[in-house]
Amino acid sequence: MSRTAELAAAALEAAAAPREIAVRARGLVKSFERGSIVALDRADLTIHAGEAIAIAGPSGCGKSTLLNLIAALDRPDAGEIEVFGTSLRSLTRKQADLFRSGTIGFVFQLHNLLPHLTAHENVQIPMVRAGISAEQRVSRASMLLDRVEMSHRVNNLPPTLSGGERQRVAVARALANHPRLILADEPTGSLDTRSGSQVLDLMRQIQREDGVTLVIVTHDLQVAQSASRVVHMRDGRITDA
Amino acid sequence: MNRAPRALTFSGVTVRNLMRQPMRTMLTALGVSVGVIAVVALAAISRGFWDMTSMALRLGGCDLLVFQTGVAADILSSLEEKATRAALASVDAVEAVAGAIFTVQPVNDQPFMVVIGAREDDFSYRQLKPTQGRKPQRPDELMVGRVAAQTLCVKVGDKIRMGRHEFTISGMFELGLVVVDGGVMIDLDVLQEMTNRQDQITAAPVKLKPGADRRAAVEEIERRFPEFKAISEVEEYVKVDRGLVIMQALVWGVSGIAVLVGGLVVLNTMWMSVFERTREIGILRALGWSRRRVVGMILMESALISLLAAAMGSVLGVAVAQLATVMHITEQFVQPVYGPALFGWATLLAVAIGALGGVIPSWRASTFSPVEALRYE
Repeated sequence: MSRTAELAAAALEAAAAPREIAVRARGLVKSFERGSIVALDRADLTIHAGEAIAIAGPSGCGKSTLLNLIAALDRPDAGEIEVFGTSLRSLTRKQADLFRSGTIGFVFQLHNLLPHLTAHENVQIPMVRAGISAEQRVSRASMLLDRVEMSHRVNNLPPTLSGGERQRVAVARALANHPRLILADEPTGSLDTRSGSQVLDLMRQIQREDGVTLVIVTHDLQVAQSASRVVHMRDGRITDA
Repeated sequence: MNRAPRALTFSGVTVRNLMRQPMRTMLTALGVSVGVIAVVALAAISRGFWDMTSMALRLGGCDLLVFQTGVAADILSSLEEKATRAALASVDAVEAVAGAIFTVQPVNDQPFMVVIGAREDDFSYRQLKPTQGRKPQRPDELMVGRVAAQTLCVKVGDKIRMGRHEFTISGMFELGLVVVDGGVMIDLDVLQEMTNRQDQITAAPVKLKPGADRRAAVEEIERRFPEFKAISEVEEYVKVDRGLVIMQALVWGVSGIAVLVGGLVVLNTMWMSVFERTREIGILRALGWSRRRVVGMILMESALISLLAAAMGSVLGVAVAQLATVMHITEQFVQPVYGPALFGWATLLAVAIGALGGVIPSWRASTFSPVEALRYE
């Protein structure tokens, strides 16, 4: 068999091989205020490992609620949710903490850096929990800040950074514990167009290079287009998964 | 040039949290330290009284002090001198009996001064060696203690007034006990006459024969003479004076109040701090910090505030106690004693305050739902 044919066969085999499921949600229901507000109404979603997916929809459609369930920050009222084969419904609170610490990287809309800690220290925060040695924490935080082109601002406190810079630090923090899944909740919501675009490019680059799964929640269709797949939500349901 | 970044530790996060509001942290610690100051100063003074009493029991080679039964304070004791001497001399273990009056009189412009009346030929008085001058030889002479001389600003040869009587200072003494050195010593007959207490003494110092058992002697004296209370150790002093016990109760009482008030101060600060940081706590929880770690962070913050308060309170408590030793009105009575136990107690107290004040806010922080906390503005 020629070299070209070998490569083609390998590609076909890879395409035919079952892809690992990163997130599998089935019939998720979540309501608030004693059922008067239904945030998720039998939502179904499957996300494959290594995928960059955007969940788009208007405010109040249940995007952030879905993200919180994927992150094990909250529990569904009904339905099943698995992340990399782990059923989140069965996790104890402590197991959920460990799961988040080891599997999930968060990027919030408002960066959510701790204002009294430097950029470098903010990146170390998830690692303090994860039992990583002090030396490793320092070197990994430095490497991550270098990767997001913030190595010149390591000792700056968040209030002295621009919005785009803060979000870059937040991206570095999300990567601290080698997550397999990065969840970004309106990551460009508080940024100008240029900074927002740079942050999206950065997250996509990291997703491709590290092979991590990226889930972006946004109401902005332009931001959603930066992902390789877009699913839409309306009234607590995925309309086109 | 950027300085090299350092590793962030759990305790580092805690300290940085406190340093965000340095004034609030310092004021909270100061608030807590007020209780610690009171406890340290009171306990040091109380310990000083305790030690002084203990030493006073052995002054002049004394083994026991005998007082009247049923008195509320030692200086209110009243015994017939001749009868008491005769009774105590009949006890086998007793080698010598002395008689003394301990009282408080106004001297010059000093409203309260310890005055001790003693007989020249008594064993306890014979051992006293003046540091300056000589012992009194005439009824209008007396000796002053070193602290009393300082308080009264007098020296050997000067005259001092006690009531309507005037005395010449023949000598000065120093026994190392501020309550005695802060007084004057006068002939017992003169003091009996001055105070209209002829043939009366407040206490009878007793010297036992070599090898005699103090405990057994006390028991025999009290059995044979129910009108006497004999004391051989400071712990027994409660039989004739409840002052020491009251003071110790005061230390406990103030400690309790300090814990309560200090606890509320810490509670208030940490409660506010937790609410101000609701969103941050949500972030930490979202980043994988467990509830236990969040609780630990809040408790450590309150513990650090309390330890700061313990340090401040100990230093200021010593300063307050020392102030009492130089104040005109108290310098002849107060001789504070400090030791590791005192500062250990102060630290323990502060930790109790921190635990009391920190536990509720930390519990509150642990109950935050991360989702709700992240939404908190």
